[in-house]
Amino acid sequence: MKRIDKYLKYENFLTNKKSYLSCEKLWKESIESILPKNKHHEEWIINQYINETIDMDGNPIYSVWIPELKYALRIIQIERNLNAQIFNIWINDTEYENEPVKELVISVQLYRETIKETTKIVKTFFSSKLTQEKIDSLHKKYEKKWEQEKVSYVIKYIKKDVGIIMFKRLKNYELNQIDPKNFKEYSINIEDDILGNIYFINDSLENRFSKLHNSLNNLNNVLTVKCQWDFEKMSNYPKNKRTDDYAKEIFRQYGNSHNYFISLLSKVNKIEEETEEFKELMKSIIQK
Amino acid sequence: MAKKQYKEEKDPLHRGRFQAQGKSLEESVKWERNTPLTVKEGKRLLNKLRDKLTNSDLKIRESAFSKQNLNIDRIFKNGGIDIGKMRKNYSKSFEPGIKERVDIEIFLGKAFIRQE
Repeated sequence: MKRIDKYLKYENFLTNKKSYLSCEKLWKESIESILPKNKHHEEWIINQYINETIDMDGNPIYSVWIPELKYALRIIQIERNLNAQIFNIWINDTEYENEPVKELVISVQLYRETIKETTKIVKTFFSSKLTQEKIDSLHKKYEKKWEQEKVSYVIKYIKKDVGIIMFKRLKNYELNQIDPKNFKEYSINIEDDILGNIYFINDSLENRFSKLHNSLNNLNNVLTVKCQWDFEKMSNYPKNKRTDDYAKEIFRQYGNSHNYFISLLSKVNKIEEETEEFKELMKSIIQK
Repeated sequence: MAKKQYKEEKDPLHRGRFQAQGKSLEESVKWERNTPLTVKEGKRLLNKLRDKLTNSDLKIRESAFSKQNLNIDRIFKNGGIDIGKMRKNYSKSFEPGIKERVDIEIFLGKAFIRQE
């Protein structure tokens, strides 16, 4: 049975003050219950301007530090969205009144799992047991999860038969685009039943049909009014009358107009073959 | 015109830094002075940090720099930041991806205020 997502109601925390305060409370309670009991702690970061307006942007949503240990924590809550990582952490070597402070920063989208992960990691950090290896493994884990979420989102769109719109939307990811290799791997893991609807082309179409592309490019040069004119000229005029560079080049390459015809015909045949192959590929995609 | 220099002063009253961090990047620009940092100077320092980055490092942090710029505008509109009042640091980070980020930290004094 699918679990109820009880944190979904805080999705609008950046636009709804009540939700924002609830998130603040949630983090405060979750973290303060696991801080070392015998150490004094206090708020670490201000998110307030000179005019006393409080910036309710979640950056940070909660912060605390233990002066005795010179350890601090800053939690940044970001809106649930696929353009940003779900969970990210780093250590910032900072200071307080000229004294060095080790700060753990966690940037997080609010889910049951990420709250659990945060409290676990904070506990480890305040007991001085957080290692770089642990941080790296979390990066790996959530990078993968982020990729899976994106794939899952794309698959939903494929299911709705709006693939074209979907790919336009994907542009929003910009730097965080889905790796096609991962797409195949994760889509197998996520939803087997729709795999039949996905056709994977490993190379780009441009590479696969590069010969066709080149042939068309060649013909681009040939099939012009200029060429027609040149061609007529080539077949009717003696060599010493040909002044056009293009005609010169054709004769240099092919010797006479007959050879040139044969070569053109062969190019057209190749294009036909590749076009057929391309049509077959497209048909198989559509039929799937 | 010669660029304005930000001299490090003894026991400065106003301190902070901008940082750009990443997998293989650690660049920062700091201020340590006896007068509060104005919004104009703050933006100049942020640009100085941008200029230190290679094109590829900048490309992946472009959105984070834009957000920091907007953040400075927002701070300015609200009168600036005053650390002295609360004796707590000010810090804001924007991360365009895992491991990449652009930070702003104010440790002491005032920053992003109108020209005094």
